[in-house]
Formats: sequence, structure tokens, C-alpha cells
Amino acid sequence: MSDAVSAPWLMAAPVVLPLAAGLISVVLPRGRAELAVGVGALILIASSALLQTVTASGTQFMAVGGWTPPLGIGWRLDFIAALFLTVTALICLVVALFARGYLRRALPAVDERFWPPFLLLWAALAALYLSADLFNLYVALELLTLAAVMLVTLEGNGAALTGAMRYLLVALAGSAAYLLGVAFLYQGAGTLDLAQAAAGGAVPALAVALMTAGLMAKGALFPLHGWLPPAHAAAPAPGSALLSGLVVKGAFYVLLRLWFEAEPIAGTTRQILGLLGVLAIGWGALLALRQARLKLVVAYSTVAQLGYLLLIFPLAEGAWRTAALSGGLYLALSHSMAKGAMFLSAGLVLYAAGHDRIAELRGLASRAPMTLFAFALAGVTLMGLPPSGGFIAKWQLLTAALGGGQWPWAVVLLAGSLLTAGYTFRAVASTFGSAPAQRDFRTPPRSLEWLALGLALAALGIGFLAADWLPRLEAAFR
Amino acid sequence: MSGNLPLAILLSSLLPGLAIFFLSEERHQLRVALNISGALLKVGLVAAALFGVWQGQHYEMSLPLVPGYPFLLRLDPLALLFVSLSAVLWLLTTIYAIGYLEESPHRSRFFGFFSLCVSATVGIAMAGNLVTLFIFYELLTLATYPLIVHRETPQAIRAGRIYLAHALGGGMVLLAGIAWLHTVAGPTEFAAAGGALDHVDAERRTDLLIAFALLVAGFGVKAALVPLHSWLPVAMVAPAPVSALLHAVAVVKAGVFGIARTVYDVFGPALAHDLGGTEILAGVAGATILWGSIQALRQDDLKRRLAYSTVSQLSYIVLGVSLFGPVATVGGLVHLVHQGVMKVTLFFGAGNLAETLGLHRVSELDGVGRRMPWTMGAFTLAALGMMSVPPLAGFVSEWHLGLGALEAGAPWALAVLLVSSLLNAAYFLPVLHRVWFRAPAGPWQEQMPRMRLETRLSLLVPPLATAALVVLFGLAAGSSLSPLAWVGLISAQEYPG
Amino acid sequence: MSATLWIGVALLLPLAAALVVLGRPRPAPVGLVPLVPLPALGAALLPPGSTVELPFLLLGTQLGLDAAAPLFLLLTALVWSAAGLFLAAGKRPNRRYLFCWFAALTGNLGLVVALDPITFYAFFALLTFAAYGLIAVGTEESRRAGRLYLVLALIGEAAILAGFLLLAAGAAGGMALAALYFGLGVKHGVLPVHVWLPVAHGTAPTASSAVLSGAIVKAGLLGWLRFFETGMPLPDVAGAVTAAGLAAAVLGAVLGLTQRKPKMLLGYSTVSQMGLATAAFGSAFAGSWALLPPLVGLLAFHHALVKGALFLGLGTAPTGAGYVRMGLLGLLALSLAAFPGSGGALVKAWLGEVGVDGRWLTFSSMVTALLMVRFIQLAREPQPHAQPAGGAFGLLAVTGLAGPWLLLWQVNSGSAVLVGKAVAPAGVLPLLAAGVVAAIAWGAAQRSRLTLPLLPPGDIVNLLPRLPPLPRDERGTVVEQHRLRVRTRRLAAWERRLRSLPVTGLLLFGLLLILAATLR
Repeated sequence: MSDAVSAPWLMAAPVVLPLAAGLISVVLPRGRAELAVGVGALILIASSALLQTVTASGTQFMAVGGWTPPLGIGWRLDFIAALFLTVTALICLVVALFARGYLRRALPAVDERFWPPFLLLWAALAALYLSADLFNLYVALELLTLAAVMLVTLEGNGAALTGAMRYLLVALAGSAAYLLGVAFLYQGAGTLDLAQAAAGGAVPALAVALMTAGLMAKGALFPLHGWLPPAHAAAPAPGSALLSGLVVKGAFYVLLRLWFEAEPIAGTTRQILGLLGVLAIGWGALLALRQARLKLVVAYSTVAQLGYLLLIFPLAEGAWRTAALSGGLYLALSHSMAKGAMFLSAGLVLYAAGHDRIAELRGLASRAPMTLFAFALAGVTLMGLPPSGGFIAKWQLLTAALGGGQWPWAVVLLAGSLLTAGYTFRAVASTFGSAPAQRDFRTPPRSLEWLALGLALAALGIGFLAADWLPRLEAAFR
Repeated sequence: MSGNLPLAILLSSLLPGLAIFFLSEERHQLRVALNISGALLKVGLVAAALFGVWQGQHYEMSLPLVPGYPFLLRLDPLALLFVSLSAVLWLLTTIYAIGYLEESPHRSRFFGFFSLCVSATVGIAMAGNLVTLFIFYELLTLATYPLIVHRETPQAIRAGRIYLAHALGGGMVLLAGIAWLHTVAGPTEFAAAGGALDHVDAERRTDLLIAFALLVAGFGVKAALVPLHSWLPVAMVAPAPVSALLHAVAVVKAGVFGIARTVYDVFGPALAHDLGGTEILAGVAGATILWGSIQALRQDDLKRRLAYSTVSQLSYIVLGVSLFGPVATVGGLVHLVHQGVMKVTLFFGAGNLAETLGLHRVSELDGVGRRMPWTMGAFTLAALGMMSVPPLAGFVSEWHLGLGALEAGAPWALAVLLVSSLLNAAYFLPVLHRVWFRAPAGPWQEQMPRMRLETRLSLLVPPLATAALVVLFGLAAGSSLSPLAWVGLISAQEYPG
Repeated sequence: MSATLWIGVALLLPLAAALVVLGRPRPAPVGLVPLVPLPALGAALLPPGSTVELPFLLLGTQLGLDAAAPLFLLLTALVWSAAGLFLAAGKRPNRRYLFCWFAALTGNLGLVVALDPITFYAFFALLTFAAYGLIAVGTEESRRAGRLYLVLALIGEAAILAGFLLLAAGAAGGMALAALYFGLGVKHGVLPVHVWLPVAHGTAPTASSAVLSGAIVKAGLLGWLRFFETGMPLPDVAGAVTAAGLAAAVLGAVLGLTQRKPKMLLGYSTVSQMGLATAAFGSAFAGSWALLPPLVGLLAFHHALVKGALFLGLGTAPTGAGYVRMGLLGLLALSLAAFPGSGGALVKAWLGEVGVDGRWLTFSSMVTALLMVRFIQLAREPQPHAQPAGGAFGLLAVTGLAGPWLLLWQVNSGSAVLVGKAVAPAGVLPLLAAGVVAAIAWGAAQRSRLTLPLLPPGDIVNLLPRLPPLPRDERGTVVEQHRLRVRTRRLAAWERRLRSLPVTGLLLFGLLLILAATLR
């Protein structure tokens, strides 16, 4: 552990750069997309460098502005944070590139309003990953929520506004609960630093319960997911990709840190959380299966996939704790990419067909094969088929379940994959066949298809990094 | 130790396949060139590998994947058996498919996935541990789906759905089995005659059993064990070359091969037998053999009849694997090859009838032998082989299976085989009778015109080649170059001493 | 070396002929058909014990001559050659028929020289399938006969395979014996699987009937000779086999008497004669096995040529008044009925020598004589599809009548006693008795206006339940799917249930449970 940071600006870059770019983009409307892309490339480089730093010299701490915790803004960069930063940068960069081409063609009205909240969201995410204490986490979460709500409203129609409003309400309620929890914790433990609170050993149960519930609301974890599908479906496709891929994971990230760095509560709660996860998986998937619109299918899929993350709670016990946790993180990462790719392809479908009603997509497969291929490939990761990152995650969770003697969770994991396959291929299969004569599909731009496909391939490809990442993720929780 | 050869064998179909995806529909020549050169290259590489392994060489490639499970490709004799079958039949099926799909849409997609399918198959064959195998197993599932729904008709889409539901479900069960085994025994590799699990405590035998059951059930879906078989007859809506590949090499064989790996190289025949798992497996295989044959009797659609026949014939292999003893092993594994060449011939024949004359039903085949003597000659040979008529390939399998059944003390299995042969006769002979002994009833010209081929050359050469193999594998079974000899080598490894 | 050459040529020539017929669309020169079996005659003259080893072929092939092979080669080649001559003299056969002809010939010759079970089985199967093409020639009647033949033959094939597998597994017990007895016995019509034989022999074209009844039925006998082993409980079944053989000998003839068509009648006569051979086996099971090969060889030879000649003679159109034809047919009939001094008498005498009950032999001679009287009566009527082919008929008839005497010293050195018995005038008595019975019966039949056939051909096969009439489309062809649908409705329902996804899922789960629960 080193108190000094080898490159403080490097660590600040993922937060500062998008924030600055966001501000500029409010002021200077021209070239915003190019600015975002350029900044994104820089951040990706910086994040990769940070990943190298963490690998080389371990966890990094930084007191922003020179104040140390518990008062100041304390940043901490461990392997998990660096990894999330990198993956977020990758996804955001792809989304930026995609949005640059997509919005101009499909939603010119949205184009100019998209960039500021997007860049703000990016900065908030980075801050979230880096925050070392609970209050800073709260601030980052609030910023994230605000930016996300703005993204939902972009299209400005009725559905978007009601969706955004419900989202905002639930998120605010969640924030309130979370903040209350933080207050209780501070009162009980006298610190806002997670590590310090855990070391003190006195984490009030009520505080944890409040924070957990709040985060679950923000993270759309079952049964608090009701806001998610309309909101995510209402946003423009690049926005949806960010919302489903990254924003909900933000809350999950905090939840994970809260529970497993502090190692608090005993068995029953964990089992209950796991049970909720099971319900989420079933519920989300079944609803996804019966949706008539593609974006809603993808949104419900997110509900179901978040359920898997809840399974970590009962599984991360005893000897298999690290396996379950690393699996959960892997799942979060690969789901981010895959869901991003899925929403991007859904956006292309929307562009090509002018709508996303599944029943009326027959013939699209011939017109936009690559889009659908990207969609299916992303589905493969969601299903957890090898060699995708989803597979690695599922493998870890499975071994944890079976090794810990908790095989019912394994059944859920596997059955969930089949449900995922069900709704993915239902959507894909609906596009086969020859189009009726009166239907006119546009051909999506090749470059955008490549972006969606690239993201899907990346989700598939991180499976090959497991030999490198898994041991280090496990070590982070040891 | 050389790792390049397994990789090269894998890439020889994977790379052309990926390249083909990006070709436009009109680049017919280039696509054909890519396909054929890839297939020829693969055959050449496999020949080199066969020679090398015969000489005692080891070919192995390992990359880190999941902790404990490297991405491991290895060419052992069992792997090579399957790889050679795939390589040769891929070449022929590709030639056939090029002729079959002339002028039909989505050819780049088709051939891309076709190559992917074969890559997955050889990957399954060469996989050195269960996780690597699983990767290719699922890839195969996905790569096959677009081939089944290729025609994009409602039936095709329905078939694709049913196929996926089964195959993915089986995959999940398989994954559960692999994970269970992992938690019991830690990371394992395939090893001839097993042995990897011998260190497991006696009190954890139940866990081993569960893992065995899960693995076999998972593979059993693709191997079309009753009652997990229903996807196979439905999937025959796919174009004939796909059916040929599906039924002879790729999908169903992957399942059967997986079962063979499980029994021989994960558990080892002795342990699997000790646990008692193989006995039940043999029972299931026996039931499948009969059920498939009985169902085949009632199909009028030729390809459906062939599909049920596949259900039945596949379990010959499973039966051979599950009966304890080297002779049954020989019978089962050699049928892996023999069934492949026979069934591929039959599907080529069915495809030629459909493509050239538009005939799909058995009841339409009256006198068609006069119009397409070469095709139907090949078909006849393969059908006779399926009935285990000597000296064709099927007989060699049946002989060893029967002998193995007696050796393993399971005369019931012999009875099953014999009854199945009769049932095979009962559903194939009426077809042959119609083809050769009935007066033509169709609208086609009764005698084919002089000096003209009965169908396109690319549709004619593959079935003739495979039919020649059906005869050759049977007639020359005793020679040291036959599949039988190679399988003898494997059997000696799996049952040392 | 010469063994390889002769056996090779004998087998490859008909095989090549088959392939030529297959590959050449032009009509084949049928004049060459009778020549194709001839190299086998050369092979028959090879020294006994000659073998050719071909380890790479099949699972290790061994060809050669054992004690029984030369006679069987001889009779096979002669019958096929004469029948070929008959074929060449008639209407040009179609390509399919010719292909099947040569394929069956290959199988028939091959199984005679195949010494190991697998090769024997391979040629046997070739013969079985190819013979279908000799029986089913296009008419509805022949098709039905072919189907009956094929069903029984295939069940026989399966039994043979089981028997050979048991032998190979070192389990030459009662099961193996039963499997081989019935499996091989299908070919020469052991009771009760004889039903196909008269039907097929009776409906096939003349040339086919000649080779079927002459040569092909002998394949089973040869198989018995070659593959019954000392490990089997042969003495235990000796009585039963003898009884079955004698029953077939008598019953075959009696059933033949109920027939109206002379060819059917000859088919039943074959069942009867092969019954005698079966009885010989039964006796040998109890006594000395060593005596059997020459006896069965001679019996087979005599029956093959005589029966073949009878079929050919029946199908030959009479020239002039037809005295020569009827005379030869009469002589052949007498020989079959064991008239003293005939080849048949020689065989019967020898049968008595090895222990077959003389009274039964006498009785069988009488019934056979009765049958032959009836045959001669029917043969005088003009036959359908008769053709001028006196040469083939005459050749085979003369060889058949004289052959057994010429061969006797070749196969049995101590045969003076036999000859004495064979020419004993007492042998006339059963024939005379038969004549009397025939005369009475003829008179009775004149008054009662009895209509024949009394029994439909195939006797007990007609007791099987009839399947419902088949739906036909407007052109009168059977609608296949309907037939199948009707008969497999319940099966389909089960399959539907199995195919439904929930059931599949449940079953998968159940399978898992069962596997897990029952695993030790």
C-alpha cells in the first residue's frame, strides 16, 4: 500500500476529463460529438494505464485537494475500480462513436441535447468507482441519477417524461434511504470510510438495511425494478445502452463494496436476497418473453440479469466466497458490454424498421444481418455460453453453488440461461423470412453495425481474459 | 510436442468461415475457392496428424483460460478418429452444398456458419478437457441454428426453436455436470482409460454419480437419446447438406463423442462401470435403438424416416460405449465413422431426389431408380449398410457390437441389435422396393437421356464417394488402414492389459 | 496359387458380370449367361483342403474347399449354368433381373467356398437380397411372394448373425444351435418357416425357380454342415431334428398334393426332400458326424439337378407331340420317388444306412411318388410362359439322372452295399402302392368334382391375421402414409407426448433422478 499516488492526474483524468468536456459541450455546441470521442479515447488510455499501475504497485489512495478522510474527498483505486473504469471507458467510447453517427441520422432533435448528460454520467460513474467513503459515494450516485434521468427525458415525448419521472421518484426515495443509512452509520461507527467502519467492527444493522434498500431501488433490483423497463425503453438507444449497461451497475457496485468489504450480516438476509434474485430472474425473463417491443424485451432482460447479481449474496460464503464474488463482478462487466451491444442493435433495428414491434420485423434479417448477428451475439454472452465473459461468471457462480453444497442456486443459474435464450432467439427468429411487399426497411449504416458488433465481440472476448482477471479479482476480496 | 497442428486443423475451417461471412453474395468463385481450399487443407493436415500419431507423436496446444482449465487442444487417437471423419465428410458435404445451393439466397451466411459448425466439431474432437469441450459444444449449438433456419420458413423457424431449446437445455445440464465434477475432483484432463478421478474419496461417490448422470444427460440431448431426441426429426427441415452434416458428423456425433469421452477419458471404463452408470446408459441406448427404428417405420417423409433412423443408429454407438469391454468399444467407436458415411450417403440421396426431381415422400419414389440409378445405387448401398448387411460397413460395427454384448454378459443387447436390424430392413426395404421394383409413376422422364448426368456433377460425386467408403470400410475392415484398425488402437488404450 | 486363381475367377467373373450389367445401359449379351458359372467347375476340381487367406478383407477372409465344398460347387455351377441356358433361350430379361441373377450367383458360389463364418454370412446375405430380385419380377403376385420370402429370410439372417456371434464369443450352446438351425433352415424350408418356399418357387419365372429350388436352397444345408459344432448339444436334439425332418418330408408331399399349380407342387416337393436332408442331420447328431458331408452332398446334388430339371422341363414348350419332354419328366419324377436303380434310390438307401428310420423312408417314397404322379398329370397341360429350351432341360435332366452314380465312388468308397440296396426291386413296392392310391383317388375325384387347390399356397401363413385392406388413391396405388397412419396411430400419440417440451423437460429430469437414484 502506498499513500502517495504515482500519477495523481492520471487517476483524476477519468473524472475530470468528461466533466470538463461536459461543461464545454454545454457552452460550445459545435463538435461536441468529436470532443466526446476524443476525450473518450484519452480516458480509455488513462484507464488502461491505471490498470497497469494497480497491477504494478497495488492499491492507490489519493486525497483530493489534500484533505484526508474522514473529512475530505478520499479516492481509492484498487484492481476492481481500475477494471470498472476501463470497461466503462470502453463502453462509453463505443457509445459515443455510435451516438455520433446514430443520433444525426435517426434522432437529429436529440443530437444536441445528448452530449452534456452523457459526459456528466461518465464523470459520475468514474467518481463512483473511485470513491473511498460512503458520503462521496452518495454524491457520485446522485450525480449519476440526475444524468441518467436527463438521458431518459431526451426524446421529450410523453412516454419519456413519465418514465423519467417515475425513475426520478424511485431514485430519490432510494437516495433518501441511502443517505439515512449513511447517517446512522456515521453515528454508530464515527466514520464514513468503509474500511475504517469495518475495522471498527460496529456496523449498525439498521444502517446497512437502509443503504441496501436504497441501493436496490436505484439498481432496480427485484421487486423494486418497476421503473426500469419504461425508462430504459424510452431513452434513445445510446442512452439506453448506458442506462442498462452501466448506471444500474453503479448501484450494484456500491452494494457489493458495502457488503463484502465490511463483511457484515449473517445468513438469513443473504438467502432472502438470493431468493429475490431468483424471482428477478424468473420474472424478468418471463416478462421479456411476452413483450411486443424489442427495446422492452431488452429492458426486461436487464431486470432478469440483475437478479443474477443478487445470487452472489447467498453464494459468497466460506471457501467459495471469492469465487462467487469474482463471478459476480465478471457478470456485471460482461453484462455491461453485452447489454450495451444489445441496445445499440435494438437502436439500429429501430432505425431500419422505423419501429421496434417484434411482430412486424419479418424480413429484417436479410436487410440487416449484421445488426441481428450483433444482437444474437450479445445474447450469447447473456446466456452465459462459452467462451464469453458471461460463461466465466456463470462458471464461477456454479462452482461456488455446487462446491458450497447449495445446488438449488445452480439450477436457477442454468434455467435462467435457457430463459435468456428464449427471449433472445424469439426476437431474432421474428426477423427471418421474406418481408411483406408493403414493408420497407432501411439498411443500417455499416459503421454503426460494426460498433454494436464490436461491443458484443468484446463481451464475448473478455472470457479469454479470465485467466488473468479472475485471480486478481479474487485477491481483491481476500 | 507440437501445438501448431491442432491449431492449424481448427483454423483451416474457422478462418475461411469467418472470411466468407464478409463476402458479398455474388462472389461465388471466391467463396467456392475458400471453402474447397480450406476443406482440402484440413484433410491434408489431418492426414499428417494421423501419420504423426501413428508414429507416436504428441500434438498438444494449451492456452490459459479459466484457473485450472487451460484451453487445451490435443490430438489423441480418439480425437483423430472424429477429426478425420469430420474433415473428410466436410469436404464432400461442402462440394455437395455448393451444388445444392446454387442460386439460392444467403449463401455467404450459409457457408460461413457451415464452416463454423465444422470448426466447432473438430474443436470438440480435439478438446483436452471438459471446459474446452464445452466451449466448442455450445459454439456448435449456435453455429447450427442459422443452418437449420436457413430457409426461414415458419417450419424452419419452429425447428430452430425446438432445436435451440433442446440443445441449450442440454448444454446447461452439461455445464452443471462439469461444474459438479469440478467441485468434487478439482480440475481434470482427459486421459486414456480415465484415472483422473481415482483420487476422489469413496464417500464422494454419490457426487461422482450425479456428475456422471448430468454429463451423460447433457450430451444425450445432442446424441438424441430417447426421450431427448425430439429435436432431431424436426430439424430435418434444413437443406439436405445440413441434414447430412448434422446427422452424420456435426451435432449428433458431438453428443455421442462427448459420452464416449465421459465414459472413457473422464471416468475411465472401469470406474464408470463400477459406479453402475454405464449399465443404465446401455439400457437407455437399447430403448432408443428400438424406439427410433419403430418411429422410422411410420414416416412417409423420406428425410424424417432417415432422421428417426439416425436416432436409432446413434445409440448403437452409445451402446458400444456403455458396454464394458474392448470389443464393444471397437464396435461402438467404429460405428461413429461407419454410421457417418452411411447416413451422409442417405441424406445426399434424399437431397438429390428433392433437388433434382422434387421428391420428398417415400410414396412418391416409385421407379425412381431408373431415372437416377447412380444416386439410388449409392442410397441402396448405404441403406443395406444400415441393415448391417455384410460386407458393408454397418455389418462390421454390428458384428463387434454383438460380440461385445456377449462378452459383456449382456445378451439382451444382442437381441436389441438384431431386432433393430430387422426394423431397419422393415423401413428401408420398402423404399428400395419402390425405387427399383415399381413402375415409375412420376412426371419425370422415365429413362434418363443418354450421355447426360442424372443430376449436377457436384451432387453426384459426394454420394458416390461416400457409398464407396461404405463398401470399402466394410470390405477392407481387416486391413491395417481401416477405421476398424484405428479403433482397435483406441480400444487398446482405453482397456490397457 | 492355382487355388487363388480358380476361386478368384469363379467369384470375380459373376461379380464382374453383375457390375457390367449395372454399368452398361445397353442390353447385355445373354448368350454368355450360361458360361459365367463355369469356372466354378474348375474350382470344384481343386484338391480338397485348398485355402486362400485374405486377412485384409472383411474381418479376415478365408476361402477354400472343405470336404463338402466340391460337390456343392459342382451342383451350383451346373444348375446355374443350365438355368442360364434356359434364360438365354427365352425372352430377353431386363437389366434388373440380370443384375440380381449375377449377384445371386456370386453369393451362391461365394458361400460355398467361404470357410469363415463372416465371409459365409456376407455371401449368404448377398444371395438373400439378390434372390428377391429373382422372385419379385413385377406382377402383384410375385411381389407378394417376394415380400413373404424377404421377411422370413431377413429374420433368418438375424438369427444366423446371432448364431455366429455366439460361436465367436465361445458360447456354442443350445442358443447358437437353435439360431443356426432356424436361421439357415429358412433357406431350405425347415418347418415351420417353410411357408415362403412353395409360394416363391411357385410364382417365380422358370429360370428363377430352377436356381432357387436347385441351387439356392442348398445354401442352408451347407451352412449346417460347416458350422454346427461339437460344442453344441447336438445329441440332445437329434430326435427332435430327425422328427422335424421326417415330418417335413411327409407333410411337404401331402401339402403339395393339395395344390393346383404344378410349380407350387414342385416347391412343396422341395420342402419334402429337404426334410429328408434334415432327418439325415438328426441321425448324424446322434451317431457319426463324419458320414454326413458326403451323404448330404450327394443328396443335395441329386435333388438340385433333378428339381432344377423338373422346373426347366415344366417351363419348356413341348416340341412335336412332346413325348421326349414327358419321358424325361417321368424319369426325373421316378428318380425323385426313389425308383430302384435311380439316383433317388441311392440317396434313400444311404439315408437308411446312417440310421434314418426305413419305414418312414418308405412312406415318404410313397407320398413322393403320389405327388409325382399328380405332377406328371398336371405337367401334361400346357404351361403359361413356356418357351422352347430343350437343350437346357435335357442337359440338366441327363446329368441329374446319371450324376449320382458317377459321383458315388468319388464320395463313398465302401458303396457296394449301398448299390445293392439301391437297385433292390423291393423299392418298387411303395411306388406301386402310390400308383394304386392315385388311381383310386383319380376315380374318386372324377365323381366328386373336387376343386383344387384345397389349401392356398403357403398353407399356415394364411392363418396369420389379415391386415385391413389398404387405402388406395384414384390410380389404385396404395397410399403409403395412410396405411402407416392407420397402423401406428397410438405410436404417434406417444411420440407426440414425448415431443412436447414440458414432457421432455420432465423426462429429462426424471431420467436424471433415475440415474442418480439407481447409481450404486
